[in-house]
Amino acid sequence: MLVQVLVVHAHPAEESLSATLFATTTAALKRSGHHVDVIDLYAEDYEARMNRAERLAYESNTPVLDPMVERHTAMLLRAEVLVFVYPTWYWGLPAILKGWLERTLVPGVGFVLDPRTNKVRGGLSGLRRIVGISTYGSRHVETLALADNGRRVIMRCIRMLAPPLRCRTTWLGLYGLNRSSPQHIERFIQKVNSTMGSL
Amino acid sequence: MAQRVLLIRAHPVRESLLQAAGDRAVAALQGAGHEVRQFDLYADNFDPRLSAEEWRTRHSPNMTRPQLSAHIEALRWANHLVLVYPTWFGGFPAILKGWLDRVWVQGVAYELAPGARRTRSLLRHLRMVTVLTTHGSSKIMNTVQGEPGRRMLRRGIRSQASLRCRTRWVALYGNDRIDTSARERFLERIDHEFTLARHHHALRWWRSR
Repeated sequence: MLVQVLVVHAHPAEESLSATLFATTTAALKRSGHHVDVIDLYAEDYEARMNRAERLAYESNTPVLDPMVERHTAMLLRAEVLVFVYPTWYWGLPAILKGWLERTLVPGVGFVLDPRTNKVRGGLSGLRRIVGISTYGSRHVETLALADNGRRVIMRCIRMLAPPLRCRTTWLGLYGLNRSSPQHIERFIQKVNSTMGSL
Repeated sequence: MAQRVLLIRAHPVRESLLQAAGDRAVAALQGAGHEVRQFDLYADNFDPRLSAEEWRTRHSPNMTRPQLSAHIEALRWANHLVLVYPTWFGGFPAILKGWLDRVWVQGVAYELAPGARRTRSLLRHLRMVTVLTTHGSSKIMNTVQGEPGRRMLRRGIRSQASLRCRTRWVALYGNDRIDTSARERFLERIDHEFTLARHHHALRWWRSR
């Protein structure tokens, strides 16, 4: 079945492994015939900071003030599959990607505050799958010990905004990058290729 | 013993509750005789995005960051780090996460000796890390999400700090729904938290060093 996919990438350098994984992901998805939207945050010179005006407009009816954010929200709302490709820095998401979540998943897009019950309802009702692809400098055991914040934010906080039973999650992590052999890295690229190709 | 406190603010609205909490913390700390340096990341227009150039030179031995020297110098100086931020999407706002990404670099936060397999932390002089934060959502919602921000403090940051580092989590939950009196209580709590006389064990521990 062909689906609408949104791939979000957050790495500044085009020679990085993260950029390779991003290219592998989009190529594999397109090869299968899916409709693919991509957001390369650094290439778009994305502003990571929610500014004062946006913070003050957050609870209003028009929380989106930036045209770039508006374009991203349209892509996000039509996506059935959401893919994040990023390096884990300091136990979490790169700032630019954290900022993307904060500025894109605003009230009315990411979630809706029900005025009757005063409860939060998820806004990503069309989302069927969330995929996280990340590289880690530290080993898997260290990542577990120090709490994998990036993964937690994506797999839990964003998952909560999607329909609870219909949205699956997939995590692909390459750990211990600083000590990985070229064969190990190549195997991981192949794994990303096959997983995204058979989505 | 007087503490050397580095306080980092990461809220875009100066008149917000959290910024008021930061002011209370500074007043309480200075009142107790501690030395305080502070950075307001939004007011300083701090760019949180690690650039390609910074990424490429992150492991080079003679790497310098002249535009961040004030932050680096303050981080080396401090023995108590206070982070004042709103919890957005489970954790640090982008601007504060970027402060870690860009300022906590090799030679400042850690070093990798030639031939060594593991990095060594250079922030072992941090004896206390305090977080002042507000959560829009309730405590139960944050628990289900796994409290990523709190884990960041208790596990991540503490793993880099002194082995005897103490952490303090001063959080207001459900900020979207609570009334003014609860916010007032939160501000009052900060006075207590930062006035060490109220914390006999902490005080004794500081003096024993």
